[in-house]
Amino acid sequence: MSSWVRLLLDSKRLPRQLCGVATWDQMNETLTEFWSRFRELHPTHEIFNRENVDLSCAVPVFSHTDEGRSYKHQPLWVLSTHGCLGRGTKEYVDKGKHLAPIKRRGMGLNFLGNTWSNQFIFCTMLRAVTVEYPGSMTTLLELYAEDMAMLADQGMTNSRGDRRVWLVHVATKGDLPALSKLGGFKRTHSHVPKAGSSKKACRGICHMCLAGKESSGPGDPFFPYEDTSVQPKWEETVEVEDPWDTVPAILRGLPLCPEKKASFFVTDVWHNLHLGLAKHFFASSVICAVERLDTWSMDSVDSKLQWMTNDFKRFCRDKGMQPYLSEISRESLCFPQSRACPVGKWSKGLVATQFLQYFEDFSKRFIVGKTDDLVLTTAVTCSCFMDFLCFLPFCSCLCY
Amino acid sequence: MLLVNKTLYMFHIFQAYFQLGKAKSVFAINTAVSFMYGQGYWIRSDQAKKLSMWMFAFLQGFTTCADICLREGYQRYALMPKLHFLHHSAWRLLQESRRGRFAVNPLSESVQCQEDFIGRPSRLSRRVDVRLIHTRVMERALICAQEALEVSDGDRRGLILPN
Repeated sequence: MSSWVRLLLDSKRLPRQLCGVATWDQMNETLTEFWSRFRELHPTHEIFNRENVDLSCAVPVFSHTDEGRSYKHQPLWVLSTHGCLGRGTKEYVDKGKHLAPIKRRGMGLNFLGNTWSNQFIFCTMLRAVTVEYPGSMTTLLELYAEDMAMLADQGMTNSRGDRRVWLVHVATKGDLPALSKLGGFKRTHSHVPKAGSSKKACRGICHMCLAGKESSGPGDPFFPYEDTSVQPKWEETVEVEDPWDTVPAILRGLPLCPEKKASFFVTDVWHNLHLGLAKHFFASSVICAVERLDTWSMDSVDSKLQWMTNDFKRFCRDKGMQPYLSEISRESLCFPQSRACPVGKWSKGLVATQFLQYFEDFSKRFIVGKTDDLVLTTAVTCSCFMDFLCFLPFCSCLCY
Repeated sequence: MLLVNKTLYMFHIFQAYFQLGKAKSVFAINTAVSFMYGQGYWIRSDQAKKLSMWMFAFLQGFTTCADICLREGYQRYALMPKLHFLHHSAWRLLQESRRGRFAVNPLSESVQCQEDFIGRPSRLSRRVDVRLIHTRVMERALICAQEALEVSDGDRRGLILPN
């Protein structure tokens, strides 16, 4: 990464490609404000103890790891770095939000632009090589961490030596399997219980807290991950217990929040929603609508799904959208029989986005004010009664 | 001081529940997603609170549906670990909105663009000699990056250019 930084400094592209601003002065102004906001949220971050680091030249960056498909579908592992800040999303720029005064500016996300120009590759490795040389990935991660630690501590100058920047590696991101591999977690999403009971208690499903940890004996507390209240039971366990036995290689030498090391591994909201919950939500909601609404003029599930497919195509036409997957059927919802649990059978996030927008439109026409079925009304309208129940513990807390 | 802090916190939670009561689950998540795309890296605290409530409305709608279906004997709305990680995003937004003037947009941690990027070296690796795959991929990646950097010099989107 230090070679990339030197190249970007020498070609005067660093403010544009790592911070999403046009000039060095704008970068100084943006980064000063960035670290002031960051300090309010993470006052104990070790970067604030380093007196040699000029925060107006300290660029926050994320790293990313994932596997792509190479020749004959062989997995190819890629490690790259990119700036936390960029030029923004299309909506952000279209609304002119990048023109706001610095104190009110949201600072653009790193979305616009060719990814070759704002993502900086560190290495690629075929899985076959990882298998043949078991320590190779750790060695690469150690080298990367060493380089990032040097960039955070001493920084990097341009060839003339008159400009210096520091790079602060604030988090690493990836999908859940990639993060769990990178951190060597002993509590991961794959530990989720799949049966009603088991001999061995679940150790937890989250690297940041003890959610999903089952009681292994009397007096041992249980923190259900299904608790979705505003103040969940697992809240008290956030960053209480490290999710690893040995500190992951990628963390070595980095300035971190000492009490929030596990939160360095951030999960992706887009994956969690569009390639996770939304697949279940849409599929189950459609099946519930098919089974529970009494406005249908046809009898069979297949004909109702066919009607929905046609309705979805009409919706896309009206909105000027190109449907990525246009069929709502038993196959696309993985629903061969009524006892099955429906789940979307697609692997593109865009499909979930389009289907969720369609379901919103469908519910306005056929659910809101048209039925009193509890599941369907809850799917579109959150139950206020449940919120009230959730609120009761806080009332007792107030009394205390 | 502790009592004042606690009272302020409870007021904040009360306010959060008041907003949650008004939210709708499928409408809430669609609104939340569009809202996140319209923001930058930082979201003002009052807006972050609203965003977290939309996310909570969806999450609670999802678990309530799962609960009702299970009681009726149907397997619908399967609960999965991703539910918990989305909950972490909503919870953290709420915590950060209490702590500072701004909270971090959860979309900053999304890997949408990175997924696009991963596909590029992967595609390159399918077009080179398999015996020299690592060297060739890195060499070609550097060429592609140089070309893209030159093109991006002319891209003015999202920049405030000096006069």
